[in-house]
Amino acid sequence: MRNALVAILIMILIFTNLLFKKPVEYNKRYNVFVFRLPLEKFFVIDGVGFILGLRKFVSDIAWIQLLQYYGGPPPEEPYHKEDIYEHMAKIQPGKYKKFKDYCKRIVILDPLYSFVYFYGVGVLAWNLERPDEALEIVELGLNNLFFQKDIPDSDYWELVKYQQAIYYKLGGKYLEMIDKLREIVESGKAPNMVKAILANLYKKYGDYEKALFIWQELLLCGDQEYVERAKAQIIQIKKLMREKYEKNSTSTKRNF
Amino acid sequence: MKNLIEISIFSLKENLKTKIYLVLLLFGIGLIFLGLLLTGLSGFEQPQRVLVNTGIAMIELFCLLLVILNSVELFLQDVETKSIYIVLSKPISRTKYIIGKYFGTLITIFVSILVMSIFHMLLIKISKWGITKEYFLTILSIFLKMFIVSSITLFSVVSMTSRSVAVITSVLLWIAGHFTSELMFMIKKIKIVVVKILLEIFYYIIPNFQLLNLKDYFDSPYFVAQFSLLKALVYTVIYSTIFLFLTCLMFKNKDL
Repeated sequence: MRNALVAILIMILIFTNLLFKKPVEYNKRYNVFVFRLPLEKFFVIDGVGFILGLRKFVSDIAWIQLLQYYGGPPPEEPYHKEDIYEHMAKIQPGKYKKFKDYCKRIVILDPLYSFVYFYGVGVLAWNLERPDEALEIVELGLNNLFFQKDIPDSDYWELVKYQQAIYYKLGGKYLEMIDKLREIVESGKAPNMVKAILANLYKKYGDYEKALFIWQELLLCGDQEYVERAKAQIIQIKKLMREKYEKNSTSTKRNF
Repeated sequence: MKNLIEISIFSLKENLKTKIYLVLLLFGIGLIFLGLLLTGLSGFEQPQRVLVNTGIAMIELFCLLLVILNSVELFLQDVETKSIYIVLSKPISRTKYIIGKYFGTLITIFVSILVMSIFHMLLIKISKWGITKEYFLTILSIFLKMFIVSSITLFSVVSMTSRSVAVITSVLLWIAGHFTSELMFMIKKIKIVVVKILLEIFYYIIPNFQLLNLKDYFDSPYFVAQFSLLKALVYTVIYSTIFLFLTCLMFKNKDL
């Protein structure tokens, strides 16, 4: 009698699970085994995150580790103390070889972490000059954020703008690329790093007013690193603007 | 009914008095506070996310530890100190004793969740960020998970009368319950029919904690819309009732 009761209860359990155990779409879509987690050295912490159902928490740890990786001097180079902040302003092709893997690790852990796509694509395409790797991250992001396709101004479409900007860069259409980056910055979702990239591009192409405007905005962002850079850039740009003005007025006088 | 409430309240008092409870609660609060420190490391653009995710993860993790250790410890302590005989010598049935213990543990968990989430919300508010309704839904889903875990732990400890085995069983079921999609993915790859069938039976018996794992996607309206509170409630009630019933059945025929 007792055994029969236990059997019935187990049958109810199985029936309940048959009824309810359709895989949750989130887990079905973002199955751990579909993507291979990069960076074996973090496998234990990532694995613990997965098995305990703490994907988001571990992805935040991974995000901090990415910032530490990219915030430090390039592992490919001997350490120079004075480079600590300077390196982020430089274009460094071939450096931070594992940057893409760090980004991939975060978005495998938390596929909905849009900011990582924006940040990672920005760094890879413009700071590290590896647009092909940036496009890989874009592809991953578009695949993971598929459900936002029907929502205008969603992160999905924001990522499409990044994709377009990279293609313009690859095609040598720099003015169109700058225009796309301006769209990205104006949307308000861009990381400070992308804003700094656009400001540097404006400065490079002599559009000092626009560059100054972006740096003045970054001055108020609260991030000490960008505040320091903004202070230095504002002084430089104002100097360049003065020089440009003086040059223009001299040539106007000469024409008279 | 009166007896049941008395046992539940007695069990709550016992739980609150234990050192394990206090240490874990303090640790939980401490680690939620750690989230505030982690925000400093996460750059200036994602601090809110880190604080919210860390807090939610810690609330769940410490509730899990509390529910498992309390369920195991209090039952076995009653048996070892023979105080169970004093309770059962009164006109209280064994079923009422088990149900009383179960609800006592759940009230303890409710108190813990309340304390930890109030502290967490205070930290979020102090940092001048908002709390969404999805946050409360996530906390509720954590509480629902604890209903199931508590019933499973109680079943393991009553049937096996061993601390370590009960803890290991509960933790393994917690892991398997968060790994159901991956488990099905693996089952589909298995070619040996017998193993496949056995694993499928196991798959349909273990609880699907992913059904209640809102914390993985509470910031995505698309996935939150797919979460059904009613479905989660029904699932929790069925699952915990069955395990509680099995526990009572086991305890009724147990030689103490």
